[in-house]
Amino acid sequence: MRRWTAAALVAFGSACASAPPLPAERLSQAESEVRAAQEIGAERAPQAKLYLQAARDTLAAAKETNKEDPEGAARKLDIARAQAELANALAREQMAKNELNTARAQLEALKNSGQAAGDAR
Amino acid sequence: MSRLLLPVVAAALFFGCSHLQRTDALDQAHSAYEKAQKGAAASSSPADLATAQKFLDLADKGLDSGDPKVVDDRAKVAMLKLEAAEALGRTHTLADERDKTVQEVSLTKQQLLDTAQQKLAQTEAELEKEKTARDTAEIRLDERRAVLARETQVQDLPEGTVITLPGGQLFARGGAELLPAGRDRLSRVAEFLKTASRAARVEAQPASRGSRSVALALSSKRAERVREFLVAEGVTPTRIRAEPTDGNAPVRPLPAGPEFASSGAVNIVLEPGGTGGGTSPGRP
Repeated sequence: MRRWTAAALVAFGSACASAPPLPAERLSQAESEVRAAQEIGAERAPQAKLYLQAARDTLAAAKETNKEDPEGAARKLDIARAQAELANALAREQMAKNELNTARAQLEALKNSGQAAGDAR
Repeated sequence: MSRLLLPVVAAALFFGCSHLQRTDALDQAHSAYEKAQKGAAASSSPADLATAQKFLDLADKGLDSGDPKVVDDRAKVAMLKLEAAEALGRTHTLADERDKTVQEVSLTKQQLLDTAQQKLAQTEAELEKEKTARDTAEIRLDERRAVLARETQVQDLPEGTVITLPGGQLFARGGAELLPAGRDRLSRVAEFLKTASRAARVEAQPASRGSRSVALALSSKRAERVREFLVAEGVTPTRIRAEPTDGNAPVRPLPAGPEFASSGAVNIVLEPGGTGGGTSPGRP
């Protein structure tokens, strides 16, 4: 009986040892980049939203496949981070576009008001 | 012996060296990198492009592992980094344009403000000039009124400023032709009216003595004659009219005195401001 118990413990231990935790730093960086993309407003820019969702999905896939393929899971973390960074960059681009459009509209309105004032004179 | 060893060594070399040549994903990443090097990212976000290159190098090194999954995953990261570098490059360009536009907005605002201030200053100067002209006109009006008041009756009534002249001082008895002395007096009245620049009307009141119908007809002629003279002296024609003397119309009571009773009176009524067009200086 003692032999069986010891064998079961060894088997259990070796099973646990085959699924190491995801690399903490890479996981933390990927999650942090996803949060940053959310905070900057990636949800509001269509292209950025797609990559943000892809980053979340890749992150989830990394956690799911860690047991079978820890190295592949770690690489998925890098992919998730890069997807979140792209979402962040696209969100910034959209913001810059919006700001440019607002400034152009303001300029146009000012020029029109100046023109109207000139015509009134 | 050597015949046996050769295939063994060849097999060992083949299985031992598991180096990959390329993968499609890696090729795509290299093409994308070359394209990005020629694009806006190279000048506007070189640091981000360098990061992408670093990941591309890692993907290249992944070939040594012999595992295409490793190569493709790293190539994918490199591609994403490249796209991010390009997006950041476009963002820099947009931000530059935005800054220029914001600067232009600021400049345009300042220009509009300057123009408005100039216009305001110009309007204030014009108003000041107008006020000065109005004050001067009022002083001149008062002076001319004082001159008139020395020889004629001038009254401020609700209907306006009424200048009353005896008919006998203006016209020959029973006629509508102006006497020289009458012309002199009317010239001073004309000066007063021109200074006032307001609407006026001429009313001739018939004498209280003699035939009523004859006096009424004569009064109308006299009113018209006075108007003609004042226009000839420079009063704007559209600002002065002669009121026909109608026996039924309410007639202003003749002033007391024999000179009015025998030859009637001529009233020139300077109406209050705003009825004759133009400016409305002076007293009501």
